[in-house]
Amino acid sequence: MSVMRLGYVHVRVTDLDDASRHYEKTLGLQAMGQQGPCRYFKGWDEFDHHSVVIEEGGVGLVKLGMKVSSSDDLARFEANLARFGVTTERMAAGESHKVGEGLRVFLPTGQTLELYTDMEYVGNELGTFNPHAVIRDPRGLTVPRLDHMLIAGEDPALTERMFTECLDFHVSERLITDIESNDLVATWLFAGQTSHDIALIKGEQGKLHHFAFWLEDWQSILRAGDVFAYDDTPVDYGPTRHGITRGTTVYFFDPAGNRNEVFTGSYRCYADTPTITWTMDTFPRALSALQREVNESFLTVFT
Amino acid sequence: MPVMTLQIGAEPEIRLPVRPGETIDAAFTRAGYARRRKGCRRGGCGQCLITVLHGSVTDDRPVAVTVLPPAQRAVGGALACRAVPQGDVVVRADAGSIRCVSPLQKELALRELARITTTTVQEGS
Ligand code: FES
Ligand SMILES: [Fe+2]
Repeated sequence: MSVMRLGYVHVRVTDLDDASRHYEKTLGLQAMGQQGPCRYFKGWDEFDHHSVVIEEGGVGLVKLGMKVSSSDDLARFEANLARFGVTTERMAAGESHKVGEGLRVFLPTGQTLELYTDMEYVGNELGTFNPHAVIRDPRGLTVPRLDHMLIAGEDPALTERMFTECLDFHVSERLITDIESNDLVATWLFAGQTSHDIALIKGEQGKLHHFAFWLEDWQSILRAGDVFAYDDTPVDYGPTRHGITRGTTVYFFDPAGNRNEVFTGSYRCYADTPTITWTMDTFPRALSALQREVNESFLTVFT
Repeated sequence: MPVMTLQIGAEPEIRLPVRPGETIDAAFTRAGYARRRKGCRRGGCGQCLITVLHGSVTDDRPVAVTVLPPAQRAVGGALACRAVPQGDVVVRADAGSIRCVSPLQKELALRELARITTTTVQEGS
């Protein structure tokens, strides 16, 4: 295991205060301060300084970060990516707030990925010595951590190859057009043991579809829907279950229109877990195993 | 209370009341209409783009220029989920993009419109 997880997602928002209220009060992230135009947040069960960065002005993805086990892995990835033909650059410690030195990767799908080995350690909210099991006072959805994200681009197949051949990712599920032409529509990739740390879908270059936070169980997903009603958070769809990944889910939007998700369930993945294939004719069930229909926004709204 | 005249494609236009502070989207949603594409309802995706033919609107929250570029704004482009009518407006939407899904709500909105129109006439007389 060398990429450990999706470490952070950095997005633009039209209004910092509106967005802060959403990420802090509705999702229940912990505010970790402001630096220039950016505010930083973490989940209660995350140990590093932040997992969400919001930046004043606009909407959409600025960049994402993935934490890597060691600098040896980083060097190996750098060589792999050079051989593959992907543009990278070294980043110095502190270039990204609280993040150590690393490697910036310009994905074929147009996004910027930062691979790093260190971020300032803060600790989770329980501590590591005789800890309690949960935080005492829930706040909003009380999301423990960031889980995964879905990004779009013109050539998801190339970026998929980059992740598997250069960064040791595995593919849990793939959505193709049909058996005959076998064109990749979307792919779910993991480096850890969840069904995906990142997923890619065919679409406009450099776009964000959503980023997702983990929740404990289906009951918490239902409760998320209740909290959204209180906070007038626009829901895209759900609560429901995905066919792909079998996860239970609600999609919703932040106050700038970036799509978020809360997600749980799914299954455990290993390096030898076989890849599941879906064809586009079953997409309604692949997307939502219960309603078996594609809502109008899911494939059309990106930021 | 402002009145919004809504033209959806070639359908006969409808007049709906707009309560203070309501966005165009909120006003027609309350009147039983729904957009075919829900979108983000937060100004981020541009799915709710409409054209303001007469009257003026202001956004209730900031909107990214990437979503609604100034050139589009200049020709009446507005995001229904953010635009709040400042007085009476005439608004045009693409055919099929908005339709009535709750006739009773529409009926109630029309009654509300009739009430405010009567009041206005009485005030004027
Ligand atoms: S619905 Fe997304 S901008 Fe209005
Ligand atoms: Fe997801």
